[in-house]
Amino acid sequence: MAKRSKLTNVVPADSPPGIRAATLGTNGSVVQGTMISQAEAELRRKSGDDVVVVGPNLQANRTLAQAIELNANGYAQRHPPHPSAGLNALPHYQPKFRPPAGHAFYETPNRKAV
Amino acid sequence: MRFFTPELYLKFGSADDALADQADQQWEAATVAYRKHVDTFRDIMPPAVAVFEKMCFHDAQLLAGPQMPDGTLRSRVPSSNTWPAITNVCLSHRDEVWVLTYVIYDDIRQQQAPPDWPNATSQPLWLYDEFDLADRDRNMFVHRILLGDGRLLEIPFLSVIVDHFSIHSAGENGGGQRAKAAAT
Repeated sequence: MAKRSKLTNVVPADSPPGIRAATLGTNGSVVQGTMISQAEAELRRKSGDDVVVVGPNLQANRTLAQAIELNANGYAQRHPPHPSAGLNALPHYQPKFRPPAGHAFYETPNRKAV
Repeated sequence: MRFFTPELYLKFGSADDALADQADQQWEAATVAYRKHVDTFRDIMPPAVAVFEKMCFHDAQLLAGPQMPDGTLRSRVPSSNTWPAITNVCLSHRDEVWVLTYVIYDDIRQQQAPPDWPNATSQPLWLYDEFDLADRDRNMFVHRILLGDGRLLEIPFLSVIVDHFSIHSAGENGGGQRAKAAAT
């Protein structure tokens, strides 16, 4: 009998991004919560809560995070991960002016939500 | 900024996906290089500076800095022109007021925003900062802070005291609960 290949959590690079509710963890980490729709994500961003776009494709993640922030707050400023926030910090979009608080984070090949 | 330069920050925000992807990799490389650089002088940091170096003030609003409203730098140099002197930077960050009191050994320098800076009129928010070593034998450091309006502050310092208090409790209790985050 042929040996079955071991299934792992490898996600195809072309799989579409997902959106999750998020909270800030320790050392700059972004803790992912339940899967939500884009409309729900935009509502969270309007009210100042965090969301994170997850997936293997950097450009797709970035584009979706930008769309969420733009639709929610009318302006989306892209910020790199802050070095002081630790190795688990994620790049993100945020409005030009505060409030609302919060961020639309997105994963990169090197940085993931926990 | 030596590592997280304004140019790299602008490139990271580029609408051109290829440029933005490139900047993503360069930012990762800059982060690794910066951590290695800081590790070379972490051993001579006063304890308060070591704590301060790990703090993240990203998005903090600059309430008062070492410059006058007209943009010129406020002189804190003693009349006798002796050093050290002190300067304060006050921030609003996550419902708290933070007061950074630097013991400085030289004038604070300010670099204006690059001409192509897209948010030159935006709020003076704290974007990114780096620590550097100026003189190992005399424990002299430099703190560079890139602000959201594109200005770069360079603070030559010996040590720092970080103090903070809640904005809400300040209003309710007439002074609020103060907590010292770090002391020299």
